[in-house]
Amino acid sequence: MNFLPKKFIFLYYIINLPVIDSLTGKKVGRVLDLSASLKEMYPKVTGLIMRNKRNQKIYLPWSSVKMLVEEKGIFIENFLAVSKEGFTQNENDILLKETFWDKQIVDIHGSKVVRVNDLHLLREGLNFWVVHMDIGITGLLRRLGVSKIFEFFIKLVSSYEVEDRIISWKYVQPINGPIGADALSLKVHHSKLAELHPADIADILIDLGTEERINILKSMDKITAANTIQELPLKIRLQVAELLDQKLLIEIINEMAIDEAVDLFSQMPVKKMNLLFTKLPPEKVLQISSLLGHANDIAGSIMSTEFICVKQTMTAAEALEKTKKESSRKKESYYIYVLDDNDALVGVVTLQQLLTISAEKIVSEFMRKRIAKVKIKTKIKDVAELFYKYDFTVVPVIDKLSKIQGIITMKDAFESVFHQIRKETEQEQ
Amino acid sequence: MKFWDTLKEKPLIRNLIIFLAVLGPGIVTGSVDNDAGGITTYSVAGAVFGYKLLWTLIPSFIILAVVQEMNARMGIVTGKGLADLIRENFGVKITFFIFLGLVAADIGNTATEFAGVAGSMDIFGISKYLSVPLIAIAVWILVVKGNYKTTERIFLLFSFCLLSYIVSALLAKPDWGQVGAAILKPSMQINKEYLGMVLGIVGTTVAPWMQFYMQSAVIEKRLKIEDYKFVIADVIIGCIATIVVAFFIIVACAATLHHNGIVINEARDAAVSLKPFAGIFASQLFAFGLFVASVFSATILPLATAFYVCEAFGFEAGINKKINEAPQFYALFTFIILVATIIILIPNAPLIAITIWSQIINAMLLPVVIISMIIMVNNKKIMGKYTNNSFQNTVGWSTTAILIIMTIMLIISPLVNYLHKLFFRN
Repeated sequence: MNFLPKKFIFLYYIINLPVIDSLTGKKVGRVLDLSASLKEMYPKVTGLIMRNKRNQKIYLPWSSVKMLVEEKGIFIENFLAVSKEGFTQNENDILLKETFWDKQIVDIHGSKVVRVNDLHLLREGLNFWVVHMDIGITGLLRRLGVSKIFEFFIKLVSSYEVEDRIISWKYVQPINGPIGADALSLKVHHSKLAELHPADIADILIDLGTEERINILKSMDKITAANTIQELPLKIRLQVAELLDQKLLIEIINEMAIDEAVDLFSQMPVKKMNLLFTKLPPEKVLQISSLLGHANDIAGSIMSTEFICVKQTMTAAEALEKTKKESSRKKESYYIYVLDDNDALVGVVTLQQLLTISAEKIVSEFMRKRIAKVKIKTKIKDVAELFYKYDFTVVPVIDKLSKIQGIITMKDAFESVFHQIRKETEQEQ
Repeated sequence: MKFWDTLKEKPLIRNLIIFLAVLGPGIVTGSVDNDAGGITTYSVAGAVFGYKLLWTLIPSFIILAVVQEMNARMGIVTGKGLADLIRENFGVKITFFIFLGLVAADIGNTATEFAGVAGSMDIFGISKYLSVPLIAIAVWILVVKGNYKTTERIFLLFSFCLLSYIVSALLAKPDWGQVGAAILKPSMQINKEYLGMVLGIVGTTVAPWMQFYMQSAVIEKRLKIEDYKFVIADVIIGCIATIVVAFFIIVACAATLHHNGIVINEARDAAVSLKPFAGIFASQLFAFGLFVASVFSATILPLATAFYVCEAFGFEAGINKKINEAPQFYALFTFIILVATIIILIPNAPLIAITIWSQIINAMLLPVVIISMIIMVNNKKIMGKYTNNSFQNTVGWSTTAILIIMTIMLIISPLVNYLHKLFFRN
């Protein structure tokens, strides 16, 4: 059993290995990088790039590799014929050293950005798969070529075994560094990121460089992108709006909740805002610009216009039907607001009520008539206090004629007073 | 509120608001630059050569501005720190070399700053065994327990205190005719002492760690490329502030010490010697300036060093993180301060040797850092359309060339001296 090679090998021990022609037994060059295919669950090594003695780069498919002996070299079958063949790397393959060494990746499991020191490959015969990323100090020392000395000293002074800090490929989300960014972003999907909550994605984006941030946002679906942008700090949000290309920015804004879009527009230069307005759907522009007019510390400035309302004369079945139709486009669909013939707000029903009550009942018979509501001019602080005092998550906003104009969710209310409170405490300091 | 909003719409006011928000990185970096080591160099230059060396401040200014502009641009475009970029583009070995040197030099530099604290407090009659540990603890608490906003504000306030040198200089009643003549008609002398001093002045203005600090300060501000012109204004104001302070230190020492033929070795000596000629107030102001500058740099240096090392090697870092979130960062920060404090408190510590060695390491690192910077700032894959234009490259490369020649001279001149003495003494 002893001739079986070790099961795992670090990329460090393959890079710079001599490439040897197995026919002549002579060294023909050195390994520069490995290519790998992303089609399997773990990236499988598909070829190698070597530099020959005349300083030329040559690509060899992995099938030509006959043997890999650590510290000795990679033996190539019939090197002369293979190198003349003029193989090229598959377009969808990535280069392991170039993509990962010294670059940042997202550790999905720990939900943070880390730097890769080395790659851990699983080896079975002549097949190699990338299984782990080494992000620990041992990887760093190995790269510096001093890991053996270091381990020796550690063992000398204590019985402490230095542990590798590695993360499984399952939890690795590559983020394309600036090098060849565009080409790579097509190959590497950011699907693993989508498993995270937008707020966590936002935290990760904060830690990245400008270009990586934009690339990741570009690769996400528009709804996730919109939700993620909402969670970014204002300054970065504006930076992102500046750098995303306009077409994409408009698509993303279109998916944003109205109140968040208003937030973004209110800080944008007027010129840019007007330009974007010409490209957005007219009804969206109307909603946004009407909200933009409100002073920024009253209920009207943070309310969302995405709510569902029904007439009090409808039956439960009709009301449910209307809710079903509209709920996919609305932010909040648990509370359904009831209006009279003059469109004044007279009550509220919950989705639960509509689902459980018999279909032919008229809405006005079972709606709750006493409802908490706020005026457009109510201060946000007072709205937040209302949420704090009572046990509900959404409050409707009405105008002078008692017509419903929007809703405020608890999250939005607390979010905006949080900023105010922070600003006030900072001014006091 | 309404009034404020309409006011904000006026372009001039709007620009002013943006500018004030952007302000900081350049000015703080420029002020840290006038640390204990810088003040010493300027004082000695003024005392030994009078006004003759004032002209060197002009090339110093240009070099400083060119280098910092590149940092600011890289910071805005990439959103990444210089350490990050060097690691990603030049690999682990070069990064390791740079940072090994940086840590070693910065421990030495921090020790020099604490020496500045000890010297200036000595003038107010406070023993170094009291002042140095107290300041070290204060600095540690400010960084570990404080928050970034307050820290930055305290720093900005600090940099205004450096203006006390202007008062010191005015009290020394300099001969403004001579000052003007010295700048307009630079005098060249070809001798060892003169050249050494020129190198010293230019060398003390640009230090490798500054580039890292400047770039991360720019990133911290989350600037957009359209803020670029304000950042440049900030950089230039910072450079002017640095040069103005240096100017007045040289003038103060030239008008009094050189005029009366007094030789000094340390910034502290300058403060003491000012007393009989410019009065006790001028002397104390000078000591106060030295104190502020030393504390300022003693805070920023270890902080900045810990930050880049962690950034380059992938540890969590940042003043807004808690100790258990970023253990390596705080450990390194504490280590640097601790070692520097101990060095100063050991009786008869070889301070001058430490200063010279950290200067030599700095001088060796500087070309490496600047060349990597210019290579990256010209890389389209990193900078997109914001690479250097041919003017910026001409200025950039000639600055680099000058700096490299100077640093080589700075390193070999003590050696040449030594050989000279060895062979020609008999």
